[in-house]
Amino acid sequence: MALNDIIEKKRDSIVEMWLNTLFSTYHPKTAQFLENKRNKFDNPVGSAFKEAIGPLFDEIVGDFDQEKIRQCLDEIIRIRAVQDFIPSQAIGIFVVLKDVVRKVIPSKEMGPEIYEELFIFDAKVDRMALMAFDVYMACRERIWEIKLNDFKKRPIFAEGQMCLSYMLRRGLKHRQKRGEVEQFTDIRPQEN
Amino acid sequence: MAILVSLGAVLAIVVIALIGAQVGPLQYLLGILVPYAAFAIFIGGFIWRVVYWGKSPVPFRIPTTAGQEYSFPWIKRNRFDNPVKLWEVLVRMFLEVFAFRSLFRHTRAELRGGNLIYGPSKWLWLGALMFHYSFLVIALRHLRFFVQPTPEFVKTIENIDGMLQIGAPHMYLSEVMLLTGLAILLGRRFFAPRIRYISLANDYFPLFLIIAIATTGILMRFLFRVDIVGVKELVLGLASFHPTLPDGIGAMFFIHVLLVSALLAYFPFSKLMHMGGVFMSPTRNLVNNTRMKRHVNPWWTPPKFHTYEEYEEEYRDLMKEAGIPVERE
Amino acid sequence: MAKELTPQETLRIDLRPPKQDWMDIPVNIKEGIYCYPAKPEKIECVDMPNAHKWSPVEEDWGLPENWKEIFLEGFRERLDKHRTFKIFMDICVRCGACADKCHFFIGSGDPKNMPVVRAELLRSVYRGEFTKAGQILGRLAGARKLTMPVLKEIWYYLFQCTECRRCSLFCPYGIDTAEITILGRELINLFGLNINWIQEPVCNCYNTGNHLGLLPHTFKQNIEFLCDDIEEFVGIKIEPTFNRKGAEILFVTPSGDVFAEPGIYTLMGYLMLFEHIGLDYTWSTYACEGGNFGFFTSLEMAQRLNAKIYHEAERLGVKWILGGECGHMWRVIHQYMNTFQKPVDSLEEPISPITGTKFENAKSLKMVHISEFTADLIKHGKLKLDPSRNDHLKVTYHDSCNPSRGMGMLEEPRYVIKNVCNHFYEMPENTIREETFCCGSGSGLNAGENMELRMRGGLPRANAVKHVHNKYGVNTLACVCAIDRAVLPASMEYWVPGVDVAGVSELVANALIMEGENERSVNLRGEEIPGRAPKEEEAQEDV
Repeated sequence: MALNDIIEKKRDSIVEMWLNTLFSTYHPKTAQFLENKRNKFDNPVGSAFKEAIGPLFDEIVGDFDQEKIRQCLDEIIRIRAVQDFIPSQAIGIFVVLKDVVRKVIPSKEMGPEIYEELFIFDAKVDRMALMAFDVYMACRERIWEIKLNDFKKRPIFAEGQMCLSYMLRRGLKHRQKRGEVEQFTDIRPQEN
Repeated sequence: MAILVSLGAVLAIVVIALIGAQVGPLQYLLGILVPYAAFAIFIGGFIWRVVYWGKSPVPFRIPTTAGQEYSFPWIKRNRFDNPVKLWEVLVRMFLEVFAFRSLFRHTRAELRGGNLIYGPSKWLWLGALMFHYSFLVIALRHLRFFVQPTPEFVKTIENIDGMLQIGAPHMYLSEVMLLTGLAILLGRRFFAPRIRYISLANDYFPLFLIIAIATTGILMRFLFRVDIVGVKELVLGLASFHPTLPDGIGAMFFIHVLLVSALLAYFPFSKLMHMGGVFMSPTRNLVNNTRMKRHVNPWWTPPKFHTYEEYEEEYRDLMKEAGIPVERE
Repeated sequence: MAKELTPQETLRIDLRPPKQDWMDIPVNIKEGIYCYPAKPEKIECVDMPNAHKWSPVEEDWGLPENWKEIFLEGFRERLDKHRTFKIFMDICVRCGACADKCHFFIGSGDPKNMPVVRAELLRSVYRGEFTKAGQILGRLAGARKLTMPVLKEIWYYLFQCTECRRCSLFCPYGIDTAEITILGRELINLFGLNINWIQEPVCNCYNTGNHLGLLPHTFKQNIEFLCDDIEEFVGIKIEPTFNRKGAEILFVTPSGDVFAEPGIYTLMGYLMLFEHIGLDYTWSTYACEGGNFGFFTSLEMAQRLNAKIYHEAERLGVKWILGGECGHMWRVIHQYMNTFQKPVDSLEEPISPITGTKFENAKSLKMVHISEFTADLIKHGKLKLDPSRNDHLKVTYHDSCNPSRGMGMLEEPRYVIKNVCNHFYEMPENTIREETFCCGSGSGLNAGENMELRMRGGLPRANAVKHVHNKYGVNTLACVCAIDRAVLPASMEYWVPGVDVAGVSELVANALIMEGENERSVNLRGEEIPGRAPKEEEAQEDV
């Protein structure tokens, strides 16, 4: 039997096993909650995973539409990027798919005839994993960007408790218009 | 570990009672002294615990508001989830104590495939409700042993409880419900990992204990029949402070009594005190009228704050320069 | 030489976490989750003990030698002072009803964020140190001794609770984790372990009257800048008064709105509303903070900061006090202030000077919420409104935890929004009103360094917003809380790009038809309102 036929037949159990592996990266107590709590709003994490992992798998064995894959990856990684995972744990779950697929291939089918297909499948998983890395980094960078913006918005006090803040610049804008001040220099690092 | 220790403790009580029941003199201990002591501990402990709580004041009114506040006549308020009057809070407490209202919130209707169904979280509410009510019914039915003649309402309860008339003697509904409720509560602790995670020996022990009490109670009625007349004589004697120990009461009775005594004695020092605590919980038993009525904190002390005078003293020049009025030029 | 792995083994990556009992897993304090410690001078400035430099990730936290005694003594004292504390320590049956109700648990998956476990962190110490059973049975009774690692764990999780009270709603005994967190934070403040994001505002608020430390002239100036903006965008000159004796009403709002986007637009909203109805009111530069970070430090600190409001009202001789949009400010005002402070005789029962409505529910405290005030104005037809100016907005409303579960103000803001916006959509039922999800950054956790924590905590709320965003195209998240306005933009940026955050009063002012106004082609943010472009093109000046 060809690998694709096996995968097609076992699609649901592969997806389920993959999903369970994903849940198992959490504390068992949490995993149970993520898996069983069905209300989407009481359990946003579990629901997002459940909704994303099936289409993700279909896309990998199917058309490999990069945009769709990126979207599915984003649903999952955006959450894992802010949780208690080191990077390899956060995206390791995608590499694991190789092992998950091998587990469902009956041992008698395992032979040189499907090695080539398996090789292609693995390569796709690798590509997905690399994309996952990109998505993960984008999320992390986003976090830092938000952090930076947050710090930028904070008041900056200089000598004499003069607030060189956003508000001050705002006020100066008006005073400049009215001709009360000639010009002012913002000492803060400027956004491009 | 916690499960094994709890189970072991309950079994130990059973074994002690079994041995005691075989030895004549020990029957006095098990049948008379221990129940008296346990009852004394229960009453004393319960009062002590409630007084211990009561000694701490409720400095602030902090009800959890679970509905629209009292504001304008044209805005419909939620009387019982956000009470402002005493009777409203009494209704809230009634719903809380008798219908486990907050737990019922836990029951969430979920839309699954277009159908409205209830999630598994309902089991907690249902299990708790079944357990507590059947326990109450059983406790009331036991009054027939303590009061002579048996009060009418106890007979009524018995009739309703046994109306299914299954088996002989009649199986009581409450017995079935108690065990079912216990099974649900214990099952959650065993099989729901999240609940198992938070469970302590303190949680398993009372469950095992009550299961053992119920089991011995049922066994006494069906399998190991005990001398009911003797039991009533003993219990009446206990209740009237003229204890006698009739002969020939079965060993099962002593096991039952020792288990109940253990429960009574354990009660005031455990989480079972939620029975008293639920009435005293300030987030539920207070009215939400804090802007309408001043509430006094018994340990109130005047705040040490930065007064306006100090403030003006520090910033007077800046204020004057900015055209902000000051008290002293 | 490493053991050789078979190809199968190489592929098998074990990502599972350890399975031990929670007491056996030592706390791992992580960057991105914790907030930076309080600066010593900010602790000293309000005379709190043991101001010192320390770091949560270092071994030694620089505690006094007798820290254990201080902690336990403080614990005992609080048990004696608060019945809640005693009862909440004693009666939890660990039924698990609260376990999955916490936004931090839902978003992080960390089981120690289950409210029951968060409380057990302290409860285990209570059992181990104060109860006989705990001392004898130890672990078996869920008891443990107070040690440094235990303290660190307690500290770490005390600052992963936003005191939102959602768990309390579902507890059959009303056990309120917020109460436990409040008292727990009091305890760690006994030896200087506050976080700076709370302590610095406390110190500033004590000295200058507001969290940001704006001095009187700056405070006034900032509001005047906003009046300049109003003049530019609306064409109306507003001249608010400050510290004016004899005004009828004192207005107090969180200082975040005097300073940062998008809160300043809400503040512009207040200014315009009051101008429109000709309210006789004054600002105060002394009592210029409605928010109260003291509440996140200790109840005593909350009382000390809160005292300024009445003190100033008395000095100025106002009749009553109007409060702006803020979450925890209203928890303190509604549930604590009337107990914290002695009544001020010169205040009168609040009556709206415009509609004559008596605010029955505030007759003793004499402080009214701006949403109550505005709802009453609208009900009596005292505002001229053009909601179509908000037609480009599809609005949903986020109930702040405190006004919903610590007050019960659910309908007033909705009534206001529905009258000033034509497109209003509710989020799913189990995420609003009394069951509302926290913004994820309340109770002083709205710092920048703990952004990962904030994102986790913000997920459940954001997820519900995402739902209405996808379903109805919602692009505006309205709220009545300054912390919401400060933190939800970040949460939206990460989870639901394309949704802006606005205070309810900002929406009101945008719809307000004021006498003498211009054609209102831009909103309070200076953005063009779609379909209302000015007739003559004017070059936008940007600085």
